[in-house]
Amino acid sequence: MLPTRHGVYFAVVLAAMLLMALNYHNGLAYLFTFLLGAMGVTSMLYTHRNLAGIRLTAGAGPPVFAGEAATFNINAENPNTLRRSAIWIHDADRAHPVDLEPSQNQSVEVRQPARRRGYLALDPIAVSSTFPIGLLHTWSKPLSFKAHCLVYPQPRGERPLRVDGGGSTPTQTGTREDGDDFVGLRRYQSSDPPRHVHWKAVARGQELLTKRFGGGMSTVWLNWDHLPGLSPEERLSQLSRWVLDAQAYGHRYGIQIPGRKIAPDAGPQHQHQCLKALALWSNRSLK
Amino acid sequence: MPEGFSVVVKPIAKVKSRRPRPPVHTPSRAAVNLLLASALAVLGLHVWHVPLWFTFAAVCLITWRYLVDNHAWRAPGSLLRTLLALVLIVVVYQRYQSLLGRDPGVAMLFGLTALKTLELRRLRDYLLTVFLLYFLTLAAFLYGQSLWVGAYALGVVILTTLSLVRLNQSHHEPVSRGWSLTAGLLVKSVPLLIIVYLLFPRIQGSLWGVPISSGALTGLTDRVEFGSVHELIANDNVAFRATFDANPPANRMLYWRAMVLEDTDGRAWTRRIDVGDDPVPETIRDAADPVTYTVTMEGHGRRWMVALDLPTTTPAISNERAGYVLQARHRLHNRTRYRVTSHLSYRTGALSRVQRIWNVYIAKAPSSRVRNLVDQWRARATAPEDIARLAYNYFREQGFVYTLSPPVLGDDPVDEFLFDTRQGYCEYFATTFVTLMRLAGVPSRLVVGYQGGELNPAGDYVLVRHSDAHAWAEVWLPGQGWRRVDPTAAVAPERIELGTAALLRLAQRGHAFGSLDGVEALAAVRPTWLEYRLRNAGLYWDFLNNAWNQFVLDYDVEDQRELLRRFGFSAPSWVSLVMSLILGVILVMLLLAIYMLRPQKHSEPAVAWYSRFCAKLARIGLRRAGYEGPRDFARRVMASRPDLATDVQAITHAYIDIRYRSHVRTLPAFKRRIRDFRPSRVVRT
Repeated sequence: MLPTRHGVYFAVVLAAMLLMALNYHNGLAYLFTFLLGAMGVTSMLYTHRNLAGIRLTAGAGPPVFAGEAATFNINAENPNTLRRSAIWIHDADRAHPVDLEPSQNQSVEVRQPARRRGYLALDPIAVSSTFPIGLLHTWSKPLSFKAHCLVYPQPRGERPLRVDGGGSTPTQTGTREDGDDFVGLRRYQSSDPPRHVHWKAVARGQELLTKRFGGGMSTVWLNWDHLPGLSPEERLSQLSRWVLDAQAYGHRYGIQIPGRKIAPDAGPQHQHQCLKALALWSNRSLK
Repeated sequence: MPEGFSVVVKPIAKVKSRRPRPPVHTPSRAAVNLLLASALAVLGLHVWHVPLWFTFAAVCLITWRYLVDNHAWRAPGSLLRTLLALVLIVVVYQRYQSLLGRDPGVAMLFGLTALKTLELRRLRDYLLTVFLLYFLTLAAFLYGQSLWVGAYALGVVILTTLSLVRLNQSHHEPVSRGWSLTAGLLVKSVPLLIIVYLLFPRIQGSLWGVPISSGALTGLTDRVEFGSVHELIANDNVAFRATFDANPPANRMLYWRAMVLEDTDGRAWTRRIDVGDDPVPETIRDAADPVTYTVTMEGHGRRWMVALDLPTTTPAISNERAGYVLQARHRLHNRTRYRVTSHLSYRTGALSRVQRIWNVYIAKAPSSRVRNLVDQWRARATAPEDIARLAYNYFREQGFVYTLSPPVLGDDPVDEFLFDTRQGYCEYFATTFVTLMRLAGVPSRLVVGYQGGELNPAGDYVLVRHSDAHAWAEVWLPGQGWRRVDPTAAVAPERIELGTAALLRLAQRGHAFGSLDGVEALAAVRPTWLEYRLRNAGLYWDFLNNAWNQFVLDYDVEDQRELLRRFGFSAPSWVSLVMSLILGVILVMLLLAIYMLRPQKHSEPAVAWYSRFCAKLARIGLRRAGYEGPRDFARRVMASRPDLATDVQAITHAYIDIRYRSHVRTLPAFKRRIRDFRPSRVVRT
């Protein structure tokens, strides 16, 4: 516990008051100065009591992609009949206010940047309070929690998800050219209608691609080995992008990475499975 | 890492650990309005200390701020605020020719506080304003420290502290919570306040020069002429209070001697100037009936001090002067306390030549009527004592009337008073008596002081007002020395027996003084029910004021020493004071901490009892994980310890019933079951 800047000002004012009382032998001034001083000192106990004994529980929020902010849920619980006011839960860049009635609990969402794929551990959380009159600031030691948020590899990479076969593209089987459902992309041919050109990819600086439409589901294998010349992390990022694209286009897709193979399927649960496999892939599998 | 996913917060005292930055909090509008209200209340303390238009301007500025917040008025720009601040400095300097000192200082602070309200933006501005208000409240005490000021300041400090609490509160907290927090904070500060107040070392002297307030001179003067004490009779203010170690003497023994007047010009009586202030103590031969008492005298701006006839000790603050009176070393501007012993029965020593010459001196030749009167007495008696008795009886028997509004006397006041008007009060009788004695060759002098006083049963002290001022005579008799003769007692014994208050009552009811005998007089002065109540209320009020004076205004080094002596220090010093202060503060804080940080009751008893149950299981190695619900935990326990199954199942069921189905009635059985639950370490077969 330390005085805040205001606490220091308060002490200076008190010192000035004491000087006046001393110099003028003013009994009432003594009384008044000591009342304020005693109040400042007593507020120490209030400040301490306000923070002590609060039970914090942390839980990880939904998985995020690297480069985004991971969220954690911190639940503060007041275990007894004391009212707790103006408590601050600090994360990396801001403080969240919490007030707790007796035996009540309250949750705050703490954000933490997710830089790398894998499990992101919640950084130690600091809790502080300047209750009741802002003169003193007390805080807890940084509290560690067993809370981990899954971080998928950042979807990145310019290689298109292609379903028309060939070289370094994912393999595909069984498509129909007619129909309304988007099924994938292939290299542009001059006979393709401009409506079907994938202009967004052009804007990204990729080669000219044509969107293909078909009726049924295509099955795509997203394969590590189809990405030669890239580092493992770049491959994982590219695969991550492909998983998202494949899911968006409604393909059935499977992944194949060193040490892990997930059979083609579709749906959010499957996407999570795949992304989780990518997130947790370790280069020990290469050997 | 702690068990499960939960962590219990423990505030730390270690300063070096990483400290989160205190967050920035913006106070609610309600809190700001409260701050403005407290600013008005504090400025109210100073309304009489600054020019009236100052107050008006301050109220306008604060109102402006209020309208900015609540009615979307335009806030003044920084240019205008700077301009106003400059105007303030110029105005204050013009008025007081300085910016330092009490009056200009208060005027500056007063103006700055009002200006500051216009630029409140961040929490820092708000809190600084609160501190400014505290300081301004304290500054008011430099003007006066009466009980009223104290009471008002208490109200102000509560209001200001409430604003301080509210400024720090979250916006949604109701004002009632602010009140309870403020009250708790202030009440819990009281024990520490008392310890520090009593034991914080007071200093003697000042750190820097304090201008002596030239307070009005009140009370007795060292010049008495016909009619001069009259103003005092109407003055109801307290002259002094006296606390006796034993029972106070009877009213008629309370002759508070202040000054002895021996010089006269025939009309006015003054002190002898030839000896100046040199101490020329007169001697006391025999003394009996000692009384010891403490006098707390209000400041009167002069040097006289009172003591009962005759003081036999000399307090540290005074010199002893000729005439058995005490005289302070300095003018008494402030309330002063001293302790003195008097002997009520005494005989004094021989009269020096100088004294004899002074005490038979007469400025003007007496008229023939006066001369004849004195000659008659001298013909009838030779002993000074007998002459004095004749004179005393003359006052009693010749139809003299005690009145507070006597007729005006002309060129020869003694003659006119003795033979024509025969109406007057104490100083008329006393001065005339002294003159007559001197004419008869008996050394005699005038003593002024106070007579009587009111015993305050609330505080067990004698309260003496300026209206109790009195003058009496002293004659020197061979073999006895100086003897007190009070001719007023001959004319109006009620004055001496019952005091001035009774006398005034008697006059109000139309009785002439001296016209009633003792029993009738007593019956006549008996106060009515209302008078009695009023008088009692007055006495309690005075008691409060006296206590306030003693413990707040005049608490000083001596009182601190006395306090320590009472706690067993034989020779209290500065060091012992500081030591007791430190010890006292530690002790009080410890007790307060024990009280405030005591384990709080668990909000739900079932939860507390269930954790006791879990603790018992943890002791035999079955620890409940944070993620485990009661049912899951019970299942796991029963799997590993089938022998405990009955108890565990029953307790878990009861717990779930109480917590989630509100079966509160089963709580006692639940508690009993947990209390009796004693799981063994090994499986019993």
